[in-house]
Amino acid sequence: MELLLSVTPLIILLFCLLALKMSTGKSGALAVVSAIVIAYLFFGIDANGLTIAMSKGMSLALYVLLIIWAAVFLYQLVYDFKAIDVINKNIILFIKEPFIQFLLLSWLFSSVLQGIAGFGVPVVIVVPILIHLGFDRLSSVAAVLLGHSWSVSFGSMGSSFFTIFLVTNLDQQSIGYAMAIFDFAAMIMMGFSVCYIYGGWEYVKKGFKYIIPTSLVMIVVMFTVIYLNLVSLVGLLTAISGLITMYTLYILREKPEKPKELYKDKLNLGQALAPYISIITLSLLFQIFKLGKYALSFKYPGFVTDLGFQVQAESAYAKIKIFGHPAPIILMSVVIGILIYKKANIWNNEKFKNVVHKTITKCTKTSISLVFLITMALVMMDSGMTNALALNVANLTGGLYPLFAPLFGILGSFITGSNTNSNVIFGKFQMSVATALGVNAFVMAGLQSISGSIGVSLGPTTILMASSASGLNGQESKIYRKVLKPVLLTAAILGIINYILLVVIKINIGGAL
Amino acid sequence: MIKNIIFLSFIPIFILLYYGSTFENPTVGLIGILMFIIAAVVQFITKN
Repeated sequence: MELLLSVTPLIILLFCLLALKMSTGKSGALAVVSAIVIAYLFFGIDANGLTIAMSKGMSLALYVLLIIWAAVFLYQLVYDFKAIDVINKNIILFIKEPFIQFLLLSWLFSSVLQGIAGFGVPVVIVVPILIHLGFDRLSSVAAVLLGHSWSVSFGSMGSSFFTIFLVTNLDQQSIGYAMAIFDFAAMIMMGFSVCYIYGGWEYVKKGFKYIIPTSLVMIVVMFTVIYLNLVSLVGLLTAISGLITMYTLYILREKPEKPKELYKDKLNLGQALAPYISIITLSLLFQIFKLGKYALSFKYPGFVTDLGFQVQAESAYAKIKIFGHPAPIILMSVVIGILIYKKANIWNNEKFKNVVHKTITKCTKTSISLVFLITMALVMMDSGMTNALALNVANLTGGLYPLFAPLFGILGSFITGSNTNSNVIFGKFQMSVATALGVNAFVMAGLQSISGSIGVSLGPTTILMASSASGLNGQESKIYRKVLKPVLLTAAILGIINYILLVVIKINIGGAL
Repeated sequence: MIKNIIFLSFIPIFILLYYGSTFENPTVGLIGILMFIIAAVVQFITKN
């Protein structure tokens, strides 16, 4: 009964989205109300607890919405001032074959961006580029969502990686090795998923000669960077090595004609790329100089539900760092873009008003959906519903649990939209189950983080960012349908690997606890 | 139009919820919760 009740809001959400094909806004509205009612009636959370959980949800939504509004604003600016045309025409000059453009951009370039910025930035940058290169909107969105998902856990300068280490208190390097084993499978699967989205099985075969050698190089680089303990750079260096390897393979195999000169219109390539280069540079600079002390955050008291579920007090919740949160970085890049457009004499006040208007129209709907979904996630977490769900599934599956363990990483990312949050919710839980089963906790922790990583492609926040960036607002159910199967297939493969490592081989990473 | 109202209603709802939670004032929090549920219901019954 407890299991059924705890999973009801998620079933309602998925049923409305996938079966009834409702918009995310409507599905989210129904799901959040059901979560509030169930939490109050059956999980013993009182009005005070609900107030805290819902307020936390809204402050977390604010954190994400700032990114979405800033990113859509930047995209609209770059689009309306035709900088994106210059970027696309230059990509075509360097990579002539559409399949390679599609695979390289969605699988590797987006992962490089994930390595630096994360938080949906790869989606809002790469999806519009693919669409303007002439690829189908839905395919572009699905390819980027899946393509970069393998890199989320080591991405964002290592934020999810740090979280799994912090919540489990296990040796960081050893978790890193365990994560890398699973990430090898995830990167291969996601590469093939992108190929399949592009053109079915025929292109999966064609992609083989690029995906396998590139993944082999990436996994060697990944293990090396973990060995060198450069934890913040694992995602970035791995993805860069992949990008270089695949482009080199393309040059060697296809021998494309070298472009005589770069394409330019009223803007040259450097000017067109300047806002994006600024995002990368500023993200790196703020990481290096650690300017995170200037921040806005929210304070919440702790509480205990009537069923005894304890929620800790939060002293700095949903911290928005002025020099670290993606929104200010993107807005600084917008200012740089505006200055460049003015210098190139293409600035036009009317166009700018249009940019603002389009941004507001696009983002309002997305914002409503997001507030409902994130609030639902927080009500479920703080009422103990998520915890009850996890415990019941673990009890039900028993010794076969390692096979089902990836579902929790994915579930955590699905309900919160974040690999980091998934690790916060389920990291310790997965470790406790591993200890209870007498299997290696490092492997289970590594699996949690990587399954959370691929689950991000199902996260409502990422999906809403993608729908805003692609103009597919209100068609999120189509995106879910396209992305769901590859994620579940990858989860099944990760589960099998986990079972083999833990139960069949009984691998020992990091030594006995 | 209705979408804009729902969106803008989140500002007072958040203020009420945050005030209710930080100062542990259940009445203010309850008003916030009810307003949030009304916003969700309106969203659900409104056409896309």
